[in-house]
Amino acid sequence: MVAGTAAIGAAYLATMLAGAPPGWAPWAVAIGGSAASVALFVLGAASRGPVARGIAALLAVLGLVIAGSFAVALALPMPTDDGARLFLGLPLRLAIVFYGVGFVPLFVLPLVFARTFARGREE
Amino acid sequence: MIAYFAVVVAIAVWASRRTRSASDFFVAGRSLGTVVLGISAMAATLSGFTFVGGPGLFYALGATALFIVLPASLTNTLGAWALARPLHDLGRTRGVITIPGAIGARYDSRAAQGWAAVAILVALLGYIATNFLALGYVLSAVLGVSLSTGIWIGALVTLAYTVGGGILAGVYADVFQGIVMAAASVAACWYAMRAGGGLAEISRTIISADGTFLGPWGNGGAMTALSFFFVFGVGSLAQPHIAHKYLMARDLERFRWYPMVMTVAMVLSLLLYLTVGLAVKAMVIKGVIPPLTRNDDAMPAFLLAAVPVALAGVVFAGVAAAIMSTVNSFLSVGAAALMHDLPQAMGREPSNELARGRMATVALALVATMIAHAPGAQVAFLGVFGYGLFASTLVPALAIGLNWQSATARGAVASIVTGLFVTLVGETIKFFGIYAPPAGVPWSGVALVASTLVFVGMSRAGGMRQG
Repeated sequence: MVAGTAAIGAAYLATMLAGAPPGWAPWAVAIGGSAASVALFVLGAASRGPVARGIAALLAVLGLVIAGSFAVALALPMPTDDGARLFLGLPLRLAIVFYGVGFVPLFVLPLVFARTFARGREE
Repeated sequence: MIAYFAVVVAIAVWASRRTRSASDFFVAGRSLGTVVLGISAMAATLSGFTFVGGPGLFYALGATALFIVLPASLTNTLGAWALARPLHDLGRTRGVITIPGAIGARYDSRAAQGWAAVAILVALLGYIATNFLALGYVLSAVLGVSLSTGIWIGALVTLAYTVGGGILAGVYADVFQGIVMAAASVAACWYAMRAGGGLAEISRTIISADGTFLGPWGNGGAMTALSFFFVFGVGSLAQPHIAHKYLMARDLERFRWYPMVMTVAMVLSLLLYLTVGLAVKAMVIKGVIPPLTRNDDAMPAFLLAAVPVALAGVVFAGVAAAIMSTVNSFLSVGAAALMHDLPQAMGREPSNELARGRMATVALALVATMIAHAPGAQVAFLGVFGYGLFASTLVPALAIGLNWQSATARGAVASIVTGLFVTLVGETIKFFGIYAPPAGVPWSGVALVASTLVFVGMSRAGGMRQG
């Protein structure tokens, strides 16, 4: 949480001092924001006791999916061809973000919550 | 629209007969089930911005607007994961009925409770005023009355069921309103795709005219888009009108399906936000609709061009529903902050809370209605404080603090004050054109970073001193 937030803060500070974001700034905000979100999940899980290995693995995968989607979108070059490649109706870079960050966790997380909920109550 | 208001009034009358105590008024007697809470939380989350401002923002900025709602894939579960159990437990064991009360109980600090209440009141007055103004525009258009009359009608109806039935009326009205919102959203999405020729055709049309609109970050750029993800993602845990719902749960045993209920409800209700602005952009490019003079005209222009009249009425009812469900929640939270939390923070035990809660609700609504009548510039100035101010003041003390044993009262108070100061000063100097951070860096993001780091730093420093 602290690392992610500090990374975002560094990016903001650099942007405000320079008058424009340095090249690394969007990367810092993307990865910092992903880390902060996942860190809150970890905090919530850890507050109930030791985090089960399965939950820890799931949260690690979640972080990789979110940060990875943003990273790929940042890394891919802007398409030069008019019309661009579409994936499920959207341009490729936007599709990676929308489906990767927006769809993958959307129903997986509530199902995991429901499955692990009883375990937490028993503890 | 008249049928919609009739149902809302009927719910208010029913709920008022069941509201007999402060616990009933503020937390619905802790009697609510999972499905009711889930739909209510969705309806309270999605305000008029989702149905009017959102399509306008999408029309203007493209994919940048997506990042405001993108975190919903995480936050529906994150809220339940991080807040549900600790808040529910505080409610049961310490009799907590408000979010500032939960913060006060967590840290055994009246100062923390008081500052949290102040932050909530500052943020929500502007939020309510902006929503009353939006409701006024809707009713003015539908009923053919003046804007002022529309504002008063909307405010008085919302006030009536909030005062009469408190949060109980609000929650059950939210369920009805949530169903209306979902129905309107699904229908609008269908017509948007039909008008644009499908998502792929809409994308190709837009890309041919504006290459960055559907680039991954939209016309606002990467820093703005990714900052939206951070603020609206992490900040979702600090929206008091949503977190408050966890205090109302009847039985945590059945809470396991709450995130799924909220997810399904939210997906249906966000379809309009995601598609109407896109469709209007494509329709303008193709010449089906003339270019818009104001971004907020995207929704009305779409309804005129692409939707049958009968369905437009349902969509207008959906807009009114979205606004009223959010405002009702804010009024209940604000009344509690005023009549319960501030007296407790000053060392006085609140009395006659039910009567005082109702009086406070009336007072807040009247003040917000007056603000809504102010010249447009002042209303917008207050409106920007809303979401970001909640996030920057309450995320550390509430979301982190409820799950981090080392958090201290000093850290909580320092973080709330930091969030308040940075947001208020930053948004003020930006609004008056003195200084705005470059590249769309939002002051709410800066404030959230500052308050989080202050919270951790002050808590750790306090722990080391005691050690």
